[in-house]
Amino acid sequence: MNRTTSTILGVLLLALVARDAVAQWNVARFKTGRNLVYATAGLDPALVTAVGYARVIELVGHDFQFNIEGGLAAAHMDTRDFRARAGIGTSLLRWRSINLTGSATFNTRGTENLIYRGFDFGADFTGALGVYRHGWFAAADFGKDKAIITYVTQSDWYRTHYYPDAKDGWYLDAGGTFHYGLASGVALGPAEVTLRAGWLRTEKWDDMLPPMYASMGLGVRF
Amino acid sequence: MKRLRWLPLALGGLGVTACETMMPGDPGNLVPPTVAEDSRLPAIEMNGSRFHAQFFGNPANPVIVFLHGGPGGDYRSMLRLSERFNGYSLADEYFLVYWDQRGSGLSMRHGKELLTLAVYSNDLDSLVNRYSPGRPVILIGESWGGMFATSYINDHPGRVAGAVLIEPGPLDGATAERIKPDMFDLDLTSEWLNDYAWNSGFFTADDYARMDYERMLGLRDAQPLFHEDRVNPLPVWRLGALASRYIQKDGQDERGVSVYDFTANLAAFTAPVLFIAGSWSEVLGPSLQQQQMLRYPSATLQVVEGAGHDVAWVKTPEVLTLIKGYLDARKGSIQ
Repeated sequence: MNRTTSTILGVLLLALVARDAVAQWNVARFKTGRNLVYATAGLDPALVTAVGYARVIELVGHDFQFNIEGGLAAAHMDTRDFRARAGIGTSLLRWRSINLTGSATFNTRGTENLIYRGFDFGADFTGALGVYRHGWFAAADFGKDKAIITYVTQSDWYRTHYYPDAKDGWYLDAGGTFHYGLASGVALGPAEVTLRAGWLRTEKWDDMLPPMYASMGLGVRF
Repeated sequence: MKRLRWLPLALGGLGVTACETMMPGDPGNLVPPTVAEDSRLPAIEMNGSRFHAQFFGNPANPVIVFLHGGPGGDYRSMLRLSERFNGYSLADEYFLVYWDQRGSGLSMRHGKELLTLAVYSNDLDSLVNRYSPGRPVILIGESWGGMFATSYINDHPGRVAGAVLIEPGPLDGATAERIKPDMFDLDLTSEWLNDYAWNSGFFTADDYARMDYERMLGLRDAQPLFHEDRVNPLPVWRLGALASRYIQKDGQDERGVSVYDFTANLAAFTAPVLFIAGSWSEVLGPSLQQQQMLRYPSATLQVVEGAGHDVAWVKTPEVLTLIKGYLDARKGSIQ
């Protein structure tokens, strides 16, 4: 019970203090426009397309970008494989054009595949260090995406042909990946084009399939 | 304050839920427990490990050792070959030895250090010496099991009296490299591959249960050119993901190119070998086996119509008839 209680408290806290997605966007342009609509597409970790909205809000004299985002697995536009995110990101430290940014995102994901139907709640924390100018940015980022609690319903196919006693229910601590890579972007008037790519590792630092992520984003500030 | 009325309800709901949470790595939740986790399963101790194993027939009879597919599969589907069809069972005349290879099926799991071709060969040699001391055995291998049988025959030709190889995989690295593009459907937009990738947001392969569970995702759709039955699929209890990965890696160089050769010493094995293939099977089917049988000094190929790579599962009576015919013809040499 201690472990499960603390995990649930963790989920709630993450939801309350959420921060993210800033690794994909240029913190130097927060004052250019307070609102950002964007779309991303790429391998993350499956082929995914997502659309989102972000708004920069000043709190105690500091700019924070809050965002919400929804995405679908793009292969055959499978609506059973989806994710929704809400996050916040900001520049944590700045020296001239060099910024250390931090973001945190609350994730919820769904899937339906050959062996199970799943729905999870998780979080992603990412830090990025790089040069952020008004017209462009380039940064290295590192983060962790954690599936904190997952509800699983085993498929009839799996039960019928393979394992009839497979258990449905809430699974704790079922998944987690580290990600590290590069992010960069250029501004074209009010628009930003960004690229983000890197490598994925399991929590025990083992390699994964696919071993990497890559996504392209297009956003417009206003 | 009115807006927060939902909060106790939500917290209560989460609390109730929290009492019923499970850990994915606990035995029996996602995948069946192994013999190391469930003492009721039939098992043998050997070479510092515990293997899931079953036996049929009279131990005094000549021994047939079954070698399942994979690497990383199990013997569940091959059990049909022990059943009685048309009034005949192999167990009437032979002692049948079924076992899940190290780290596979319901056998005990091990780290990658103990998942090598040399360890596998030593396990099979120990099994042969335990159940057929001083008398050569018959090997029946399916897919990877056919490769494993060939590897063992190559190393110990005097310990084998005969072999039935059901659609064996590539017997050397060059062949493996040649057919590699056809082995898996790696189209980036394919449903199974995206499901596999998307799964990492839910389960990551950081313990044996999760990695074996993840492995099941590709069972039906990853190898379309194998033309296996999708309605009545070839069953397994549990895949051994780590065994699959590291046994294959052990046959590759540091660039991931297959360099193994299980055929270098096959000239020393003069007993006839029976190859069996399903007519629909495109990758490991008749055309490949026509080439592979030439690696043996004496071999014949029988093609079963109307079956894919899972020929022994979907056409068991026909395959059993072929095996019986082969064994009957070899009776003088294997008693």
